[in-house]
Amino acid sequence: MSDSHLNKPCLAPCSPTPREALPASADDACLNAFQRELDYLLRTFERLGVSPSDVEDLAQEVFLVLRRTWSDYDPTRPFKPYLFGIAFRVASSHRRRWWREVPYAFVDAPDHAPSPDREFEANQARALVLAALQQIPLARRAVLLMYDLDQTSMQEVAATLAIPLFTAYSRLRKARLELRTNITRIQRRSARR
Amino acid sequence: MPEPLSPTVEALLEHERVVVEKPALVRARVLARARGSLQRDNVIALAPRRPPTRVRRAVYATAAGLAVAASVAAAYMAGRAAPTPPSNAETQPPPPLAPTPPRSPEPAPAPAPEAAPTPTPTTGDVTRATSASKASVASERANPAREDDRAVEELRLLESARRANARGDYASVLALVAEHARTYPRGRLTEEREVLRVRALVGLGRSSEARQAAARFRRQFPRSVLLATVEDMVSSGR
Repeated sequence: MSDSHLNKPCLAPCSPTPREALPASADDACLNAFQRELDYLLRTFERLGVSPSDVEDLAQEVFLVLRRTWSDYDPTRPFKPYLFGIAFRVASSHRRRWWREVPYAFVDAPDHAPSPDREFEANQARALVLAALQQIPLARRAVLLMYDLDQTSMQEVAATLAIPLFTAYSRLRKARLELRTNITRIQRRSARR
Repeated sequence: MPEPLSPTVEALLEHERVVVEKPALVRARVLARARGSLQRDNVIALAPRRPPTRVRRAVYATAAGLAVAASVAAAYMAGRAAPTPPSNAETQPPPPLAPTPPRSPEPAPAPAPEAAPTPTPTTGDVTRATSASKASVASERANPAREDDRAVEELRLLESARRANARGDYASVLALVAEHARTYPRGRLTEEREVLRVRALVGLGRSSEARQAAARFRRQFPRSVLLATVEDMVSSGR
């Protein structure tokens, strides 16, 4: 499947294109879509190991790319995978510039007061999953995030990440093994304390 | 088709699939930047566009040539020798511009932070924090396996602090936070550690110290998504 609009390099090294104002309705549509999935985008950056202090800057980068490529986006296709693809490339590029990956285990739990049991359990689970994800290489992690967390079809995953379908399945299998191993290791080490 | 996940992992991922809403202040800041970039682009797009330099140069050169030709023709018609070019700078068209590299039309918006409409803090603290992290990472890169162990140990230490916080044992939180600061002075979880510190100080009723810790956090991590949480804790006293 060829999805040229998903494979376009869309980061800073691109040659600059003339900046023209999109029609007001296109700007509105772009901003609305961005706003609608903002929580998902910020969470995605956390899952991809972006430092808390860099998340907002990268969110702005994603918006600029989104706007620049908005006319290429096919509205009949699901938006989340498209957004994930941009976020993944922005995070990867950022990581190459500033290599600092954060075991992101605490953002969910501001813990103003001890939470009710179910919420506490959910927060613990999220923290554990985030910590386990951070130790999976980014390329494999992206496949697992899209397939197992975002529940995107594997065809869409492969198209978004511009990889062959077989490669996507292979990365998923390895990532799941790593996730299970990391979860077990973290739980054991926490239990020892 | 991939095999189903194990029930344990599936149960954990089910929690993670729920996307928790981010603090309103964080959302507002991100959306304000996005709207700001739209407004700025629209203003620039509506501004009168000057022709490119090479066009202006050609226009000036043509105008100069026409002016000279006109003066020569006028002099001939008057029966005099061809005059020297007029020396009055005001009647003379501007000389052709010196060659400059061709400029493209308005450049595409650069990625953040250049495009950020809000002032980007350029405090040394932010740079130093990033440099310190990078230096720590650089030293750890020499031994990736050890680095992995350190990351896990660091996480385990703060996880203990987090559990202490959850049961309201703020004295233990402060002790664990202090241990983390000693053991991992440039750790990867510095921001998270300081959030726990502020929380514990608030919980112990040490408001003045909590405010100071929050101010330090604000200086060191001005764009952190955890900043709203820290400020909320101090202002609400919870």
